[in-house]
Amino acid sequence: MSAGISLLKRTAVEANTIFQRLDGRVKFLYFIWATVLVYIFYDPYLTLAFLIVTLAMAAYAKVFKPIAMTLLIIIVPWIILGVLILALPFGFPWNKTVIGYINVLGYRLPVYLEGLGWGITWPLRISVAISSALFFYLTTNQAKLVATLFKMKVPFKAIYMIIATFQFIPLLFDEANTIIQAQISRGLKTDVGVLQRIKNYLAVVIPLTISALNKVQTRAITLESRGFSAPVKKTFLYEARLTAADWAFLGIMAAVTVFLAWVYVTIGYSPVAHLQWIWA
Amino acid sequence: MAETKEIEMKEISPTGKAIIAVVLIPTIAALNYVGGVIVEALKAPIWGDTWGTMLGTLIGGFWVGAAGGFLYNIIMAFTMWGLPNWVWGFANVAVALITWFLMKMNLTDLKSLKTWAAVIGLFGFVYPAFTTAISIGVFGGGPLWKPIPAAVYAAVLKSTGNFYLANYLQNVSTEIIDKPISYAIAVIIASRIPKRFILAK
Repeated sequence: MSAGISLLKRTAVEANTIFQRLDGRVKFLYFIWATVLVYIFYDPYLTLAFLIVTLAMAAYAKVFKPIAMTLLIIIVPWIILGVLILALPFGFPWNKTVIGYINVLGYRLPVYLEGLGWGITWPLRISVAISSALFFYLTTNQAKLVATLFKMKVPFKAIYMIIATFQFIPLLFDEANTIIQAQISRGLKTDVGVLQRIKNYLAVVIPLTISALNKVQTRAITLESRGFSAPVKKTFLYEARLTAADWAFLGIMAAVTVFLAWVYVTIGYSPVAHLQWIWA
Repeated sequence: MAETKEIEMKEISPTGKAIIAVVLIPTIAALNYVGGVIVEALKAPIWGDTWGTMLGTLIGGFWVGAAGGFLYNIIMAFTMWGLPNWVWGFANVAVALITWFLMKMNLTDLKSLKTWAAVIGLFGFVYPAFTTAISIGVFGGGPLWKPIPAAVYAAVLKSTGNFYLANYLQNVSTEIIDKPISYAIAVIIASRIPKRFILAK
């Protein structure tokens, strides 16, 4: 099973920590706030600090493992490839400052600061975005997620679509697994050439799609019979409300924002690493 | 009596296309996702996470395909890929738009050379220009972490020193195979779907 499906099969972790109790809107705001800030600055150290804080909160909320696994799969290979291609003399056009030399297969190659900074900072920015998003997703259960989205004025039909997608993915995945096993038992060979693999793909996705579409009709009837389109005010299992802990968390974010605004104005966009701004 | 019965049937039937679209859109998003996972399981040589968008467009029209594709990207951005990746939702909208255009131009006959020329031209060369703009503007335009595109990127950068061209050709190298195959898969599935599910005119 891929890391992706195991992640999306996972629902929120029901631990009784301050982060699970925080309002979904606050965690969502943290996700947006952290992502925007690491894009405003161009500094791998500052970005790393955001990542460490987010991972520490995730560890406390008992959701560290799935987040760390995702970062290992997506970010680490990206940094390795990015640094190898951009920091070495492979033509990255902004490379100017040599910070050292490495020996590769007997060749002495210069390592450039500009490519190194670029190859590390961009994947780290994405890793902050991923970890803060997963932190929100894995510490907010679906009932709270619905209430949060409703409070954020997301239209009711859009909320249904988002929640339904989360529910459909594991259902469709289980069905795809059953179809793959059924096709293998009927003689489908998986150790074959490229063209045959595409044909194998069709042998799985055609029955999967038709089965999924059959369920569309049934779900539509169910929704209608439960008054989904009825022009009445909807009620929720959980009512989203801000508590003292939420306000405290928001206060810390506000204080950090003020501090970082001061840093940006007085020191600049790369306060620790002192990288030159490169814009493609 | 028969007339009364017919009226009652109309009251409980979910005939409204709007409600079917509401259920179809998350199904399309989930199919995009599960399609990508099946690719991994069967080791097929494509990404496999856009044929759902194309299929949604072929059976539900442009808006159903675009919304399903966009929703897939939003879900992935908010869970696995990270917030900035939500902008790839626009790439899925572009995929739906190209599919809709091909459908309107009757370019769905996979035996026709004209269809393949249009599909390869639009998905293989025009669409990567759009994805290149996103990958440079939002992600810094580095190499992809898959070995073949990364090799193309490094080779073009080394030989020309042109950062933009390296990014564009890297994207061409991934899309020129994936998208036409995904389109063919979507057309084949759409042709086998019972007519009652086809909402698109």
